[in-house]
Amino acid sequence: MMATISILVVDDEPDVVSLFERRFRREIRRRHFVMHYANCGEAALALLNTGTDPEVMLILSDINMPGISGFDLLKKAKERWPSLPIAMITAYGDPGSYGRAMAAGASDFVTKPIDFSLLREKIRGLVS
Amino acid sequence: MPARGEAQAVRDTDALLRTVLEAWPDLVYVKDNKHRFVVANTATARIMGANSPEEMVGRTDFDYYPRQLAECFAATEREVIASGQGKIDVEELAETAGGQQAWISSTKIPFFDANGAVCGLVGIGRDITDRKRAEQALVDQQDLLRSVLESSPLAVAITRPPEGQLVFANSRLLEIFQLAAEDVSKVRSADHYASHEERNRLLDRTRAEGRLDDEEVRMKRADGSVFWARMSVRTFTFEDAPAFLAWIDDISEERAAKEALHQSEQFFRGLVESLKDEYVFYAADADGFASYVSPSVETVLGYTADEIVGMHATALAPPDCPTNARLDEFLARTLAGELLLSYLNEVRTKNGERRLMQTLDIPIRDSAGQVIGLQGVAHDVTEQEAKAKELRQAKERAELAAAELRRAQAELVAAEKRSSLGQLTAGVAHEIKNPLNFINNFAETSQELVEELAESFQTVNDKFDSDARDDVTDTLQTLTEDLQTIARHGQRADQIVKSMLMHARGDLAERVETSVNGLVEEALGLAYHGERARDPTFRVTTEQDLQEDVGEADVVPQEITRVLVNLFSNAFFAVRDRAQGEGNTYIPTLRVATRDLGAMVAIRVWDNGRGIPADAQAQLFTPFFTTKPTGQGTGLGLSMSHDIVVQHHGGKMYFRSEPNQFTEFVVELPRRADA
Repeated sequence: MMATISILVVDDEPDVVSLFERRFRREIRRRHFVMHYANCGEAALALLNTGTDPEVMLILSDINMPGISGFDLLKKAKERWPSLPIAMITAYGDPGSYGRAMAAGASDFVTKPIDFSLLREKIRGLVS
Repeated sequence: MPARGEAQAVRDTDALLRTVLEAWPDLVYVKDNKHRFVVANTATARIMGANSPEEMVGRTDFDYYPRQLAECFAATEREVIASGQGKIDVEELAETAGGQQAWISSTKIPFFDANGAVCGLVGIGRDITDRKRAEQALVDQQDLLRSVLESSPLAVAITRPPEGQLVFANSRLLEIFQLAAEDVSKVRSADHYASHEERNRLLDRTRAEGRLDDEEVRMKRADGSVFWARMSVRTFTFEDAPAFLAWIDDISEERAAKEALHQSEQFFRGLVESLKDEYVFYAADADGFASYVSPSVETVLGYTADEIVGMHATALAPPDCPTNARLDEFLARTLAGELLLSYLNEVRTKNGERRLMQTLDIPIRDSAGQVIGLQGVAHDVTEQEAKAKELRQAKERAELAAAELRRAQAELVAAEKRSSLGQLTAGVAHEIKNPLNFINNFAETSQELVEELAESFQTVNDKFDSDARDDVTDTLQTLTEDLQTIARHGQRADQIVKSMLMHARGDLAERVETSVNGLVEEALGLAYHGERARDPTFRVTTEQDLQEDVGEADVVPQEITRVLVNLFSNAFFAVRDRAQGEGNTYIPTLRVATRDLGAMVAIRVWDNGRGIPADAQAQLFTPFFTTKPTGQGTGLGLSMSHDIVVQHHGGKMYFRSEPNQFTEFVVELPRRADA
C-alpha cells in the first residue's frame, strides 16, 4: 500500500477545491492523497501553524491572490519549514515569474491550465 | 733831251694814273683846300650825278648835293685841312642825283705842298649801301627777336656751361626767379636748382642728347624758396661758344592742382583697392567697355585687371543664365541715367567656374551732365548664396527631421498604446486561463465520469427496458460528444491565449550572432514538415536563392525562426488555396532568398499563391486580423512577426502582393544589435 501524501492547495478560487477533488478522486478515495485547502496565504499559514492530520507534506500555491501573494507565502513558509516542498501553480507561465519562484525556493512551477496527469507524477516526485 | 724826255715820262705816268682811276670801282677824287675838285674818276661822277669827270673839275659838292648835306661834307673836309689829320672810313649818307640815298664809307687824307702846308685832300669813297641795309635788317631782326622773347609768357634764358652763367634772360625769367635786371650778369643757373644732383643729372642728359623736353624740376628763387618748373633746353653755339637756351615755366600751381588730384585719386583708388576681395569695383565707357577694374578682380575671376579693361560688360556672362539675358537692358538703363540699378547675375571665371555677382551700377556724368559711362561694384555672393542655400537645405532637413520625429513620436505613442494593450492582453489572457483551467479540466473529468457512468450502467442495464436503455446509452454518447466539443474548444481558446501572451510579452531575450542562411533553412524545414504532418498530400516547389556570403546577424534565433515559420506557413496556405481553384498547370512555388545589404541583411519570402486582397493589405499587421477562415488563423502571426522584426530587432518588414499572382514578404534585419 502506498504511503499517504498530505497536500495543501492554496488558491482564492473556490472551484479549485472541487477540481482537485474530482481530479484526484481515486487517490483521495484510496487515501493516497489527503487534501487540505486554503483560500489565501494567511489562511494557509494559519493552517500550517495549527497543524493538520496528517502533517502537510507539500504545498501547491497560486501566485496571484488577494492579501499576501504566493511569492510571500513561499518565502514565509520556506523560512519556517525549509524542507517543505512548495510548487507554484500559476497562469503566468512567463520566464520572469518562473525565475522569481525558483529563486525564492520553489520546488516546481506548474502553469494553468493544469495538466493533472503530469501534476500527479510531479507530486509523487516531490514528496519521495 | 732830258727835259723833253722827263716831260714825256710825266705825261705817260699821268695817262696811266687816269686809266687806273677810271677803272677803279670806288670813288676817287682830289680836292684843293677850297673844296674844289681837281681830279675825279667816273665812279665819283656817277654817284654825284655829274655828266663827266672833266665837268666836275673846279666845282664843289654844293654844285651836286643839297646844301645841308654838302655843308656837312665841307665841315669834315675843313677839319682835315685844318688839322692835317686824315679821316678814315667815315660812313656818310649821301644822296645821289636821282634822289636815292647811298651809304658811303669815306676816307679823306690831306696832302701837302713843298712847304708842308696843306694844299688839298685825296678822297676815297666806297658805296656800302648794301652792307648798311643788311646790317639794318639784322638789327631789325634782333629787335623783333628781343620783343618776342620779352613778350613771351615763358621764361627764356641763355646760359653758358658749365656753371650756367646767365647770358640772356627775358623779363619773365627775372620775374619767376625774382631777379633784378642789373644782377643778370652775376647769376649762375647752378645756384637756382633745388637739388645739385638733379641739376647734374639734367646736365648730363642735355649734353648727351643735345636737348631736354618738358622736364619737371624743382628750382630755387633768389630768396631761396623752392618752386616747381617745367623746362626745355637746347644746346647751341652762341657768340662762338657753346650755350644753353632754356625755356622755363613756373608750374607750382599746376603741380599743386595735379598733386591734389593725385592725392584724391590715390584716396579713392586706395578705397576701391582696399575693398574686400569679393568686391570688384569697375567703370565702363558709354559703349559698355570696361575702362577700369579693381585688382580684386583677379581673386574673384582669375583675370588680371589689365585683361578685363577693354572687355565688354557682357563678355564674361554665360548666355544660359536667365539674368544675363537682361544685361543689355540693365546696361542701357544705367546709361540712360537710372541710378543704383542693382541685380544678380552670373559670370564665368577664367577657368570656367560660375560666380554669382550682386551688382550695383551708377551712371557717370561729365561736367555738362551727359552720361559718359558707368561705374559699379560687383559683390561675389556665390559662397553667400551657397551658404544661404545650405541653410535653406538644412532648414528643410531640420523640418524633415522634425516631421520624422513627430512620426517617431506618434509611433512611440502607438507603441506605448500597443504596450499597454499588450499588458492588458496579458492580463486578460491570464484571467482567461483560470476559467479555462476549470473548463478544460472539468470537461475531462466529466468525460471520465460519463465513462464511469456508462460502465456502471452496463452492470444494471438489464433492469431497463430496451427503449429506456437506448435512451440512456444515446444520452451518454451525446454527453461524451458534447464534452469532447467543450474540451476541443477549450484547447483552442488555450492556444489563442498562448499566442496572445507570446505577442504581448515582448521577450527581451538576448540577441546572438546567428547564421542567416542557417536560420532560413531550419525554419523552412520546420514549416514544411509541419505542413506535411497536417496535410500529407501537400506539394510545393521550393527554390532557395541564398547568397553564400550573406553572413551572420545578431538576432534572437527562436523569434526569427518563429517569424520565418509563420511566413512560410502563410505562403503554403496561399499556394494551397490557389491550387484548389486552379487546374494541374499551376505549380505551387515558394522562393526564399537572402541578400547582403551591408549593415543589413534581407530575407525575401516569395510565393505564387492567391495573394493578399487589396482591401486587406492595409490591416495585415493588425493583431487579430486574418484572411483565413474562422478557426484556421489567430490573426496574430503577422502582427507578432512584425513586432519581432521591427520592435525587437530594429529591422524592417514589408510586402507587396498581386491577387492571384504572388506575394513577397521582405524582412530586413540589422547585422549588429547596437546598430
